[in-house]
Amino acid sequence: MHIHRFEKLWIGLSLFLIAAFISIVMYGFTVLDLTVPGSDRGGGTVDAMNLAETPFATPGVRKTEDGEYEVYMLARQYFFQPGSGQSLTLPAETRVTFKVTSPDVIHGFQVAGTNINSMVIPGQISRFTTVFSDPGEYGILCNEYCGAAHHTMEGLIEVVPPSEFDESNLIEQ
Amino acid sequence: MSTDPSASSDPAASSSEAAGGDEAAHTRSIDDFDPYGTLAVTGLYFVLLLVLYALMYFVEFAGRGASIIE
Amino acid sequence: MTFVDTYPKATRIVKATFIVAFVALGLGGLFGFIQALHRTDTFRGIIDSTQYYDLLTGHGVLLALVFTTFFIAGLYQWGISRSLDREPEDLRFSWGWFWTMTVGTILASIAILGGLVPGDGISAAVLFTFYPPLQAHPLFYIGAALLVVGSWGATLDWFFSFWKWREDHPDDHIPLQVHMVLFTMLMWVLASLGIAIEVVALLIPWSLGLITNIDPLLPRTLFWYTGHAIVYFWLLPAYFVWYTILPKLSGGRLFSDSLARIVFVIFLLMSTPIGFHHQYLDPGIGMGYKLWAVVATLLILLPSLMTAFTVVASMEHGARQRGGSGYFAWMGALPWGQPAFAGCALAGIMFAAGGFSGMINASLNIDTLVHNTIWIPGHFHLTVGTAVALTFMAITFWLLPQLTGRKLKFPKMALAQPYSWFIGMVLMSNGMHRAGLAGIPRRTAEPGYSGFSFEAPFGSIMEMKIQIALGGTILFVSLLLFLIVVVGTWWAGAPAETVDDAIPPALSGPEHTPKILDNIKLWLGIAVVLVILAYTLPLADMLADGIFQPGVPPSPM
Repeated sequence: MHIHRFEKLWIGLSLFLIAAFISIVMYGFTVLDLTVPGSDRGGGTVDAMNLAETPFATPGVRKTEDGEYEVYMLARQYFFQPGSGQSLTLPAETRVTFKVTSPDVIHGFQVAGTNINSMVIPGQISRFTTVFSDPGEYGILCNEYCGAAHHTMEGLIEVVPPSEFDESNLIEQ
Repeated sequence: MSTDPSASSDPAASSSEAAGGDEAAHTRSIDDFDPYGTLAVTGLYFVLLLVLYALMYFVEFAGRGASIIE
Repeated sequence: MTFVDTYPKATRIVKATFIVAFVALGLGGLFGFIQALHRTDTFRGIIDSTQYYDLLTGHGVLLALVFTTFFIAGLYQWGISRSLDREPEDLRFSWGWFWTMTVGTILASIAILGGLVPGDGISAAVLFTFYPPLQAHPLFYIGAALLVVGSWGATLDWFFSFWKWREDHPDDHIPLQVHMVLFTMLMWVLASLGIAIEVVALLIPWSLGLITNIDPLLPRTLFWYTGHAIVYFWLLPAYFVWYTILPKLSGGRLFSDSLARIVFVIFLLMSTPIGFHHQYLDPGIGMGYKLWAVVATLLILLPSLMTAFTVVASMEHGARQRGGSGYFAWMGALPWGQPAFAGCALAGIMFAAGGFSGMINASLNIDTLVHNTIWIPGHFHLTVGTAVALTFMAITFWLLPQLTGRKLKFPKMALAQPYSWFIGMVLMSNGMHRAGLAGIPRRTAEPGYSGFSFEAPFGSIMEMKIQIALGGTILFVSLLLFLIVVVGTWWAGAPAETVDDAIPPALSGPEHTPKILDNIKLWLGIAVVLVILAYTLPLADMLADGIFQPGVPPSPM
């Protein structure tokens, strides 16, 4: 086989590039804690046709035993519950864990202007944790086509300073 | 890796892709052709990729407010 | 004597596939034009926002499935016949796969366009990915299945020709074009098994009501088993053109035959086991599979980066013989006034940019920044929408005289076509990529939301919308130029005295190529093993609780 020396050099550079990209991704994944949802993130599965017997029957913000907040949310044709109609209020600078599922079709959950982005699949629970460092309003949108009124599926998160977060609206365990 | 100098003497002879053509335009063989221009173009692309990728990853992405951390 | 005189039977098949391809291209392009105007709120008099999704389904299916598959069938039939010096072995079989594909296309189109006719009970607004539980009319799935099965028939047909040729040439290297055809199609058959199982075993019975509930994650995973490899099914025929025809159009010769073959071998091995990178943000898929997908997807950059070098070096070889010199100035000596060359070269330049956004998409966690934003269509309009589509259009200008025996009509329009496509795509893709970084989603009929607005990292949202609408308009004009040249040449082109259809041999030809690169069984075997390794465990995970669990009922669209 006849490979020109320039081409050998280029193949070397290409392999370096690939190794560099893989390293950067792994660095972000391990050191910077930038991760993605997945089945080993503790979400698990749920019977989408029988959500009445699960915490998803009363979607909203809860406080866990170790003092963190978690949000049970339904993404459904064509709203987020909670989040649409009335905004979802969350504290800044605090760990918040989302558990999102869908009772009907596949949806997307994206918080505009952030890296919070997950598929929402009936039968699967998307579980992921984040921290909002800055108070303010954040738009939620469905980024997976879910039917004729898909473009109206939106909501709002209101992030308030931790001292102003009102715990009286939490869902009882 | 072929180092046999005769191996590149007549590339057309054994090629089943050889369908004729204006031979005068195709006189250079692989041995007297060093693609410096290609090395320059691809080298520039290599640098561009590394720089743009790092910008996208560390500035656009990792520099954003809220991310999925667990 | 050109192709039409030597292989009149093959020519009829190529022409038939091209007719279907170009009808789909025209209709799908028109839909894209309407969408670009609608979703940017530039002009909304044609459809309402609900019908947007019928059109979007048509745009995706007609362009990404129908235009590509039919054009590839024609291009590869041309390559097989000229390289092996054979007409098709059995014309009944050849027309059989053509009509299977065509009937499939018609059925799927009826289902999609039925959505625009109120009250007919037929619709298929499920988009190109048709994720259940969104449910289309059964005709949509039956049509899609026939299209895929027809493409398998074409594969078999080309293998028949190859096996017959092999009887007379037991010791020869496989001709380069044939090698590329066979490896592309083997990859496609292996890769399309996922969508075939999804559609035939799950979705057709489900859409007919034989199954009620479906587990959405399973068909989604089967779709992406095929859904990433399919992009290489589109791309490899463009590589076929860049490796075997573009060097000649540049006035030079292919740099290296062996490297071209290595690239196609790697694509057979690596295209299918990487589909999980489309599911980085899925719950229900383990992190181990996702991390494997990162490594495997980034590794598949290698054959494309190798292609970049070999193809650019082949062009440089041409440019230097045309008097070009210097590190960069040689590019000015290339035949930029020839539409076929200009289209392929501009497509290659756009692919370099699309390659970059693809590298971003492959990189796991950064997917949370771009996933399902309009950045993604920004990316694939550079790859399939330009690297592939513009190459196909450009090489049509070179193939038409061989297929019709006529000179290209309206050469100035033909020359304007690739440049206008390039300009239109620079604008549209730039707008889409940057709007995606601002968080604007793909696949939506509306430019914004009522409760919040998007903030651009740089530039303004309005300027991005203008680029998308203007770019989409220029692309549509470019498409019309293409169709006018094709129709004009076909029906009113002047007879060509001579047609330059010769392809010179590679600088480093097959005599330097190791025989092992031609070993079809070996590489196919390894490819199958890699697929089994990549997909057995995740699919077993999904099936552990039953095929239809956790299930949900259908949502008809």
